[in-house]
Amino acid sequence: MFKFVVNRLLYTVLVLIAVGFVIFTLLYLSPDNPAQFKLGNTASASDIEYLNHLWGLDRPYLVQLWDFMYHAFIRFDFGDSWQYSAPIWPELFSRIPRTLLINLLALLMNAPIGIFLGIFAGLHGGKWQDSVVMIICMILVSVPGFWLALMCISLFCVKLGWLPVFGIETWKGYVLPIITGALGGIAMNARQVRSAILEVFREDYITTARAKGVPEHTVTYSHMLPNALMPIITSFSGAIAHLIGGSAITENIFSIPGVGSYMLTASQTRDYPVVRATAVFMCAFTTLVMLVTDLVYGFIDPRIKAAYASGKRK
Amino acid sequence: MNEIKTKSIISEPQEKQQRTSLFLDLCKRTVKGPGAKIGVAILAIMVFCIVFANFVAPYGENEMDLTATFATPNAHHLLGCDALGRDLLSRLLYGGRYSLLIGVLVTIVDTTLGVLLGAIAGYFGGMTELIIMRVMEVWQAIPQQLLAILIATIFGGGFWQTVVALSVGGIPMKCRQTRAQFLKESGREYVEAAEAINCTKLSIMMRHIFPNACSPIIITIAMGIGGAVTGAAGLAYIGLGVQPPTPEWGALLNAGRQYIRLYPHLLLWPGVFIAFLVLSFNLIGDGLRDALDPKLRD
Repeated sequence: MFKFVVNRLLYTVLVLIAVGFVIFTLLYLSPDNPAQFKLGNTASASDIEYLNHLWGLDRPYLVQLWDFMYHAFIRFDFGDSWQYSAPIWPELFSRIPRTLLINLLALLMNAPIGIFLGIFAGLHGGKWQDSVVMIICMILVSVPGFWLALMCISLFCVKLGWLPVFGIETWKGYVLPIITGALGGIAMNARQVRSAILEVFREDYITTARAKGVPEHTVTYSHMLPNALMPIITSFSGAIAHLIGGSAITENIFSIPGVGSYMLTASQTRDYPVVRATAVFMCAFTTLVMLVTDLVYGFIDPRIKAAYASGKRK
Repeated sequence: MNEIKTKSIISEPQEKQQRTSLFLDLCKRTVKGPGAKIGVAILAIMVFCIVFANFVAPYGENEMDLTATFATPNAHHLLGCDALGRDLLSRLLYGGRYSLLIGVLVTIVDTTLGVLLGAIAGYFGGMTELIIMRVMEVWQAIPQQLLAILIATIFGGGFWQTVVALSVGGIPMKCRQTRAQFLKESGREYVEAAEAINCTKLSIMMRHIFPNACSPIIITIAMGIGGAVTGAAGLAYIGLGVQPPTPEWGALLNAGRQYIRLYPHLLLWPGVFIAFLVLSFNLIGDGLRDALDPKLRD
């Protein structure tokens, strides 16, 4: 098992370094001129040249790449924001907790509720309870999440006045972002669990268990569910990628000063160091959650355990 | 003479019949459930209204009526008007052309590239597969929407930029899916037979394996169009996609966002249209999944 963990850790580090390279290269390819963007159209050529020199943009690609990779991955320093000429790290650090709080809570919410709904629908397969849950989930999967968030603002914040329209001065500001973030995931999980349960229904070992005379609720809870819930662990990584990727839009809608909105404002002002820093952070977080789900899966799934155990013996 | 006649009578029509019946059979099995029927109906109505917007829409795309600015839904303007007195329903119908086209184009681009890369990786194996799959894993570590925002940052907003930004993020998933299918199929006897009669590699991949491997990809295509429409709307909403005054649905949401307090109907209807379009594709996708599932056959 130790080998499995080390393997996954090394792999994660390599992926992150490659991601850093991809993000840097993508932004390097941009045809825009950030110095021109900051100084405006009336800027003189010498001023632009000065800024380019100051930001190190007149150096060759490989030198810039090495500079970025060295500072970002070895010294954890993302440099200064071009727009505000201030270090990025303190600003980013103050925003990280808000983004993490919203996304992790949404993630933690969508698993239990989604699984419960999926089990409920799956065990009632074909009856009206199943249809009701599945119709609701179908609608939730289809509705764009950010539009649902807008509609919730319009209803709960503007019309009813229960919650603040924007800002996060009190805990109330977090309610809608978390719920609207979780809804899509809940529906996705419920659909997946339901189809997994319907699949397990047809397996031979369920028939065997019933034939042995195992009570029906034992069949459900200790034979069916553990097998049906395995795929849910892997769905976590997809859910977190979706949540993190959508956080720019969510934070924009709810005016939350998080990592996503930091990235968005930076991308509008061509503040590439900030865009790079936020993008690397988001990818790192996504990759870490994927790593954790992989490890959990490895510890739970006897097949992966066995594969590594037998590998050791050889 | 006699021989030729019998050949042409017997072999050709039979082949044709079988081909059409396979496709028709799939269609029939797809729309068996009530969900897929509703999906097809919604999609048909929406596509008809969008394609023939010139005839269906009550007003022009940019026709202004300054006496009706911010009109709430009424008899003249079924869904109300925007800040310049443009009829929202007409703009939604015309805008659907952009949204639907983005959805279709994105799906075509990422499916073509993803399937091609996945087929190469799955069929050739070895070093080729290793390189392609490692690249895909790194690619997939960047969340799709984040990648779209990055690409939109670099190339700016606009119709074609949105298509590129969204299709790039969809390639890894299609690639992995295709590779898994090709791995499963490439060991089968018919592949060996095709190799034995000296078919070219391209022909083996595309004419022999692909038809047997494509059912999961068909489902992702159906669902992917809806996903791309939502993605494009999200990008446009934060100002990185199609720009107003183009009436793409996300751009309409973007234009309406400042009026959320006073005129929420400007935000309501574009979302409803997106939701219905995505819903129809999802329902059809579910129908296809059931139709293509070998366990549920017969």
